[in-house]
Amino acid sequence: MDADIYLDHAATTPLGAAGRAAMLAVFDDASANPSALHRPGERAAAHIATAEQALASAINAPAGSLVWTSGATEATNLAIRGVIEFAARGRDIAQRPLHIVSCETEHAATRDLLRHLSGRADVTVTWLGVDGDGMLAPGALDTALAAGADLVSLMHVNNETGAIHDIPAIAARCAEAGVPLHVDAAQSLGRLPIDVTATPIALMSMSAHKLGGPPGIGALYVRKRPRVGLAPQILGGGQQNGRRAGTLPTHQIAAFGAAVAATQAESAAGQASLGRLRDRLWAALSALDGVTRNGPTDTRVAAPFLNVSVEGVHGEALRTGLAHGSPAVAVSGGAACSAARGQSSYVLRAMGCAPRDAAASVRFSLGMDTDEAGVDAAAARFIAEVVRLRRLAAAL
Amino acid sequence: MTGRSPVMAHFLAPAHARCDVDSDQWHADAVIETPGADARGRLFLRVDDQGRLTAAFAAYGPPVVIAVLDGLCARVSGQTVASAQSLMPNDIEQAFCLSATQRYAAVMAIDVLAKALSNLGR
Repeated sequence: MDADIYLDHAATTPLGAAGRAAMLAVFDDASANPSALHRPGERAAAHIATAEQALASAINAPAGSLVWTSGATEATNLAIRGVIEFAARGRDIAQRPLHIVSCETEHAATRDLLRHLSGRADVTVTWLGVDGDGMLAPGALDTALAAGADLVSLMHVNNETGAIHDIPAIAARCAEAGVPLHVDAAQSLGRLPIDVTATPIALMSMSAHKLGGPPGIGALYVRKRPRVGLAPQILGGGQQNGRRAGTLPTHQIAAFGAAVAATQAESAAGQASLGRLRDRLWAALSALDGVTRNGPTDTRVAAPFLNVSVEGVHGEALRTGLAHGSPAVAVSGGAACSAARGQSSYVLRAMGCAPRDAAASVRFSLGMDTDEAGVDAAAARFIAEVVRLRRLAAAL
Repeated sequence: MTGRSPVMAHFLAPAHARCDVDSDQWHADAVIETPGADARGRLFLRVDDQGRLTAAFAAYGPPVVIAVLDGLCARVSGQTVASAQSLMPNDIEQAFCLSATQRYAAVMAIDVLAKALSNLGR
């Protein structure tokens, strides 16, 4: 990592030792096609089976309920497109449009896809609003479900603020209404307990590179019973029972499984420790005037997340100064995806932040390699950079 | 500044920020604003007995705005008014290797320079 202090784990965590070792083991032992019937192929398939067992165990899913994808974005596309295209087959055009319920603060993987799908004549999308903490407005989901829905898609942990949606309660309401629930668990896998057997989740998107696995691999949990109709989005080859074609990347899947297993081992204590470090960071930053915290500040926020807005500095200048000054501090302004588009955070704006406050926001996301010294150094560097930029603007 | 782009070098270590320049005796100044980039800049000018300029700036905005205003100050300090008047946006664009999306900063810089030079005579 080309940063002295890396606090951008919500974007990507560094590849962990377990994931790296698993990947190298595959390169050395099983670089064959796992669909092949020969022994090298069988060895590759065994690595995949081990990984599947690890991931299924982490979310308490039955065997055969996971589809490997290139990441959470593809998993989300498979879930939402798959359900809608399956439901649209043979559907009478005179029927009401297919109705998807989601939230204004979803990750772009969901938001952009739903915006695209809402251009279809047979699809309508209801966007649930959030309060100032980024939590779903009470009753909004019930109102949307009462109108009749075909799919609800909500994230578990918000990727910008760390706000936790109450998925067990949401899933129960969806189950009562008979509507399948898709959960984007990209930011919660390995950080919060998720039990897809105890919680009536129909589909769940997951990603490896948020918990010490490599980028380029993810998975979609697909509930077996009641069955979820899912139209495949990638055809050819018939791998994964025809649900997602393409030769499986054994090394990435093995690394994903190993990373999940390692995370499970350290999860509860590790998250508590991250929460204490996050609070330490906030205590230091809040000593500076004009710094406000975005999102919930209680148990409704995931441990690694701290999102702040800063008065009197330009967001891009602050983040660039942190990233390229010394010591270099790697953080994001909202989602990396938003930053790449040069936009202020739509998540923070949906929570009621003024556009300038949303633009001048910084997301710190801690990881297992974060320690007190790193947090203290990051805080000192942040304060110094804010003071420097405010001085540059003082004579305006 | 070795190894850094001109924009990054000037942004991280501006040498002509108003708060760091040892003078309060400015003869003219001018303000420029580009709401689309949420950027504001102010240029301060002083002319010595030999007709040479000293410049300083204040700025709020993206790194490229801070960098270009600092670079502009470096460019005009020690020059005559006539020399400063001859500067064009293209000179700034080339000096800073600005991309298409950064070129507005060069226009900002030249506009605020022109205003400040104009104010010198008042």
